[in-house]
Amino acid sequence: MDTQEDLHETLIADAVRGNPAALAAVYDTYANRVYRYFHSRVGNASDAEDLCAQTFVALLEALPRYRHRGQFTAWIFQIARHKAIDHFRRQRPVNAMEESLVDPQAGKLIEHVIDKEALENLRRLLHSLDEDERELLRLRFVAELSFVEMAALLGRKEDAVRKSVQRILNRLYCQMEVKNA
Amino acid sequence: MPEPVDYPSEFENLLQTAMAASEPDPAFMDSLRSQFLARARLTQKETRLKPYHLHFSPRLAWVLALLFFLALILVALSSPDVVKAMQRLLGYIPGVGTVEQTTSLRVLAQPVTQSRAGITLTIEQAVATADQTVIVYHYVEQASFIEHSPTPDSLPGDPELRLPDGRQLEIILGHRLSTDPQDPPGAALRYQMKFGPLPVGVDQVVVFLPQLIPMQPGAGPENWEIPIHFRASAESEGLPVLEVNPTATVPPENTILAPAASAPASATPDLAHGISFVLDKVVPLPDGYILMGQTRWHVAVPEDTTWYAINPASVTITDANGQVVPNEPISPDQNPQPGISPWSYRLSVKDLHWPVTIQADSMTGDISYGSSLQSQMAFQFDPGPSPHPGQTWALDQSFKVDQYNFHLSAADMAVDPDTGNYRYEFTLDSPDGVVGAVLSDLDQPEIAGGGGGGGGDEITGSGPFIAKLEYGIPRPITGKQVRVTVDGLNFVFRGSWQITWSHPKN
Repeated sequence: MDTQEDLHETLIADAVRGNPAALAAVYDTYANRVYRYFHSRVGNASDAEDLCAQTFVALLEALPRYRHRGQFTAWIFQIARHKAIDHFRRQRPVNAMEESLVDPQAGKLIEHVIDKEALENLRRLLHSLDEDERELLRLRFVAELSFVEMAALLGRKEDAVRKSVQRILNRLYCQMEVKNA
Repeated sequence: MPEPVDYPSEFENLLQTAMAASEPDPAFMDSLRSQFLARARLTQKETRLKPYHLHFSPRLAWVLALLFFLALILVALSSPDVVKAMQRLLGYIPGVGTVEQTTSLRVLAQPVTQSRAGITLTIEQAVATADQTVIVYHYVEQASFIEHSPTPDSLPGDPELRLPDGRQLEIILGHRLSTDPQDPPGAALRYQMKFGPLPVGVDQVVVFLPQLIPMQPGAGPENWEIPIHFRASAESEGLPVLEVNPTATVPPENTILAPAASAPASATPDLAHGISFVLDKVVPLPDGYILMGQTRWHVAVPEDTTWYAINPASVTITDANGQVVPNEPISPDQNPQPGISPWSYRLSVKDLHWPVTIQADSMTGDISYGSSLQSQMAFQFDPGPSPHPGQTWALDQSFKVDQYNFHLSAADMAVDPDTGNYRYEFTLDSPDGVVGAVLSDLDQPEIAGGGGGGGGDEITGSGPFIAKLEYGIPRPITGKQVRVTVDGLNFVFRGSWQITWSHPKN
């Protein structure tokens, strides 16, 4: 899977200095990904929009303190994850199972060409994952982070993150095979 | 060794479809984009009000400091006629500050007032020089409005000056002014805005205010349009400004000069801790005086230091009998620069027993370092294999940052009660006046940072203080040493910085 590349560091430096064009580029590059990440976590558009707005306000406040170390994407999603954590802390105690990982309305156009039953099975299996595992898949397949970015975000080694994701996918695939057998 | 892949590549596509999240509403994303960029513009304007950063090499800084003192000596030795001529050039306009009274100076023909929905707004000052146009307004609320933070959630737009030909001058700077004893009762706010220079020949403009800061959108009337007129300035438009001649020599540390025998009197650049406390100008008012000066920190800092500043922690102003002269700090009309902090005090007594003495017993300073120090480890801490909240480590480590010495005696792990995230609290002390430190984790700069002081004696600048290193995650990173960098420092210096000044008529 291809992931989007970090913005050029010159552009990031301009954004840190408050250059409007660079800030617009930052927004255009990340806003949809940040929104999709939130939607995947909270499961509704209203909260996702609210969290997305909070993230970009926080980003603006934090930008002057950002020091470029090649991981701007990880830095932005760190802010987004904090906002999500705050959101769930403010809400009722969250049953991790109630968090949305999938949107039943999304992907409808694609579904007709995919085995619908397999898709439903996979969605059920995704709900059975623990939150740490779901977050790994969310960062990888919804927020579209590279393994390098995920490693920077999670404070882990790239290889460890890659292996964790592959381990989850292997397990999910095996469970799917068993169900289909 | 990578995990063996047992699934076909199509499985990732299936997973992506299963996890697909809804796309955002384009209208919302467009609106958020506009708000994001508008807020960025506002932040930029507020930032411009804050100290701006110049990068002087230490050598250049010392050369400039030397030139400054030579210039002071030249001023002190120059003829009274030259001094008088300079005094005539400068005038003080309340709310605007000191202006050069040249032929290009234009001022507000008369104050303009508008009332809408219980709010009376007055443009009280407008000054157009060759370089800029300054507008000062205040408003009086006759209804009840809730004051909110100066950064509202959404911004309707920026103030502007609308010219008769349809062009606009955009705001460059804007900030709230100190209250003035002359303000009408109930004045909620005085605000100064700076725009670009007014074109020659244009004497009428419309001041457009989309919203009165700090009201939230919808909290009061918006989109104010107030026509104002400029006129050519009279010969002496502003109040006269007395430029204070400093002493030509630098006294030894903490020397208190005797009251000056002749006028104009003296200001004393007292260089205790490399800090000079200097009075530059005095504006006699009908009912008192405004004292304007600056505090300079003559300290060598690394070349890429982003900011450093020193300010008096508190100031006492007394007359010749030792009686305290009632005063209040007001907004200086100069912007601070690295190492130079302007200050301004208004004395609310006219008949004084001269000379007056301006005394500061402690100074607070701060330094923000650039990447040369931020990328260097200051100290290393081993939390062990399973650090947990409540754990304490007794340490005994000395280290140096820039020219300042530190001793690290303890570390504690705590959990932030609001966020649930963990942090380390390091107990430090320094013999060099440091009372606070801003720390970062060299290996996790995106998620770990913090600062703070406290615990030490912030009056004397002695004793241990706590510096925090906060992590944006709830579970400690285990199995690795914590390499800590110092991004900035806070200082308190004790001393005696004094300025004495007598009115020339005395």
